[in-house]
Amino acid sequence: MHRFKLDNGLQVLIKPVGNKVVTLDVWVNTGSANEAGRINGISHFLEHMLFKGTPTYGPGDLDKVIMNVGGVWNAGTSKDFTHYYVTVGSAYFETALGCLSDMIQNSLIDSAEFDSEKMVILEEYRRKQDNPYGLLYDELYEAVFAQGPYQLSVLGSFESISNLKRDDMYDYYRRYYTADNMVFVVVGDVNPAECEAAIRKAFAGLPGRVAPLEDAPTKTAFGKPGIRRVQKDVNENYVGMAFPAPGIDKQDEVLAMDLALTILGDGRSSRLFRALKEEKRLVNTVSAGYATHRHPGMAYMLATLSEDRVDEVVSEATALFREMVTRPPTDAEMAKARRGIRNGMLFGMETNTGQSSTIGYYYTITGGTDFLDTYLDRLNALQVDDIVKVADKYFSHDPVTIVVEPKSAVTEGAA
Amino acid sequence: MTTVTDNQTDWQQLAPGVEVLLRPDSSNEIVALIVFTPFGSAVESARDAGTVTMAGRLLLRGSKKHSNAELAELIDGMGISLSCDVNDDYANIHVITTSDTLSESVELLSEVFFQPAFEPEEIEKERQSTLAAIRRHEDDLFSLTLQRYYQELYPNHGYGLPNIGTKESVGEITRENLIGSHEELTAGPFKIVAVGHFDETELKELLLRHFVPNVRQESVDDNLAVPSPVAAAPHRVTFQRESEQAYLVMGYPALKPSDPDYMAARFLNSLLGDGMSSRLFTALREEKGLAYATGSSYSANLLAGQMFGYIGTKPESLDTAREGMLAEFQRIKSEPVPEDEFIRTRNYLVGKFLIDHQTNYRRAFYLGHFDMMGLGWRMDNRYPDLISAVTPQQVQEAARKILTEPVIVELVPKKW
Repeated sequence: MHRFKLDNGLQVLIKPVGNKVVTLDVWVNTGSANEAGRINGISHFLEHMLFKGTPTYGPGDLDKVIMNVGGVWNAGTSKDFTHYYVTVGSAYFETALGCLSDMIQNSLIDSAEFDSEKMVILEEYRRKQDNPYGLLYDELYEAVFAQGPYQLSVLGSFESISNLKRDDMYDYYRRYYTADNMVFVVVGDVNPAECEAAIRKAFAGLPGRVAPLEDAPTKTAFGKPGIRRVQKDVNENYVGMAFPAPGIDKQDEVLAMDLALTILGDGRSSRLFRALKEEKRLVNTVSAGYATHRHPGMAYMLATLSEDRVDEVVSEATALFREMVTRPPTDAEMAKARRGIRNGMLFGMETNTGQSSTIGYYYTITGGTDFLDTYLDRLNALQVDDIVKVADKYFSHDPVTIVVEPKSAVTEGAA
Repeated sequence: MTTVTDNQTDWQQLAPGVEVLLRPDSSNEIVALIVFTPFGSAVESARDAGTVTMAGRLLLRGSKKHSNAELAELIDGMGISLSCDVNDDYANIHVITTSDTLSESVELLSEVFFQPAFEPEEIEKERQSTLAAIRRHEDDLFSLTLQRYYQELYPNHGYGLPNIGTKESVGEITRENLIGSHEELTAGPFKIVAVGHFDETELKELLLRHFVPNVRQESVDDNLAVPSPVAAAPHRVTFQRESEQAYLVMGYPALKPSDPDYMAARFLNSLLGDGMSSRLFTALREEKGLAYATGSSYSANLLAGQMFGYIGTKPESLDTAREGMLAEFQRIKSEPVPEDEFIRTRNYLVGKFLIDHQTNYRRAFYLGHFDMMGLGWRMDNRYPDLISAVTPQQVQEAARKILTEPVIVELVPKKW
């Protein structure tokens, strides 16, 4: 990987891949974790606004330029980051770079466009409310974190979105979209030296120093354990159950957690799947995951079930999480999980976008490439005892559970 | 992404009823191998909808050699992806693996494909899983609206039925039905496409050892004849659920792949609703702020195509959205397409197609898919040129042919 840093602090990573296309991916180290409640949703809304024009390109013109060279582009906002990515034939690298660097540095955040786009964002909010999984995720995060960077929804609430002001957004944009708060990842069929020269020129004027908002949340506090029910016009019960989990500052624990969650809930031979679906037939789907964040996050199980046997599922699942201590992973389970993670990364990184996303994500939350570079070796070096320790530390907590359930299942007086 | 050229090897016959198309590529260690078989869910009626899909899903729930649990261990142990997808016109069973487990993967694919156990207990488990999946599908309001649209457009035909089946039909599927569907799935002829890190000779030997001996040598009946679907007369249907948004799908019968104007029809869809610069996105989202999600989609089946526009919007905007969408469908028939918009759409269509060839699985899929659609694998090479040869006049003619009177399905909130 070819890497360099501009004088203003912008870190650039270029990975040559000889496949005739190139992906350019700008990762900005800000997301809903940087939002106080009064501006909740601003990172995501801003992501939309970056497609709405600069002094050079009017609204919609950037899309036209990218389409005109046969490119595809998009953006994503999460808790810890916002990123903008474009894939084009490698001959159009400079065109894509021109669009991306202009939108990152010179977006106007025009007031009329802001008002118009707010309607689009509110439609996105409504759409999410209609989706049981979208609702479940937001409710789960809100319940797991009593306070802290990850409590609030990435999209924001209807009220917070409605109240967002253009000037607050412009201020946020200038505070966080700075050279030292980004990493620019390029994966594709490019000459690194020529690519470097073009990037140095394109981003030379980007201001350097991030100036975080003073009321951005910092201290994490976990929420009260128990089961919370949300009623909706759905047919199935959608269950999310979560335990506290380490942030990326505890890298050894993160690795152990990745293995533990793979053994618990990745694949048809995983412990949760075998026990809850195949043997006890309590659930229709089940999986486990771990949201690796910069700050302390959560390890979770997602399940769907037809009958309201949520209490039983939570009880059985909690026992299975804790069994990682009393019934440690076998050598076969360890080998299978390592292989699954390794192949998952290999398959996921087959596209340029897959590579740029993985590289950019880990760079953004760790501040470097060491974690990703050494990930598989460190995973292979983990011992059963490491898994047991991390399971004992985090799964001994009582979990927080959210259920999105059919309205007919509601009993009188239920929350 | 490797550009294939027409001088690459053609289908090679490995055995009667088994042809292979092999594209070795050692740029990574991944191998994608797809077995295409010309039997899909279009043969199904409302009574037996979902049988073929359920038979496909049961392949991984136990073979004559391994139990469900043992298969799960084998698949997860190798870290491979192995599954059977059933479409309207064909099915495929595929494996995505790495070169070091290619031999075991081919052996396992052959075993589950040809020797499923269809144990009664596993059938019941799969039935419950499928019924639950149908319930979840109904909780996804856009998918629900879209499925209703298919049913309204092509009533009384497999193209109008959900591949997964319905609550009523899935409850009635018997073991004998499943075995019958499996016999059709494994009747061939088979087209096997592999792309990735393998030695051509070795892979052929693997297939000869594990796959070919299972192929039935006796002649089988031709696949069940599927009648051409008859599209419903234009009409509008509204149904209710509790929701924040209203969902609208507006569509038309369209051209099938064998139609001479098929490429113009694909072009038309892209111009109307594919991407952030398309007409529906620009008019309904960017200019009117009506929606987050809007666009159009084209699906081409062997016997008929169809094309629809879609939008999710707050209920009070539904009329405006419907009128706006109809206005765009009318405009393209009456106004010439500006040259810059035409060129941009063409470049986007071609570029997107090439970008979608980055994984070995997608490369293998395109080669086989085009062949199953009767276009031949070389369409994978010719597609960019054929799209580039489309003229604005042809697009407008396709619009006049397709965008007549629509079938409209709308989901509106109960309290609205």
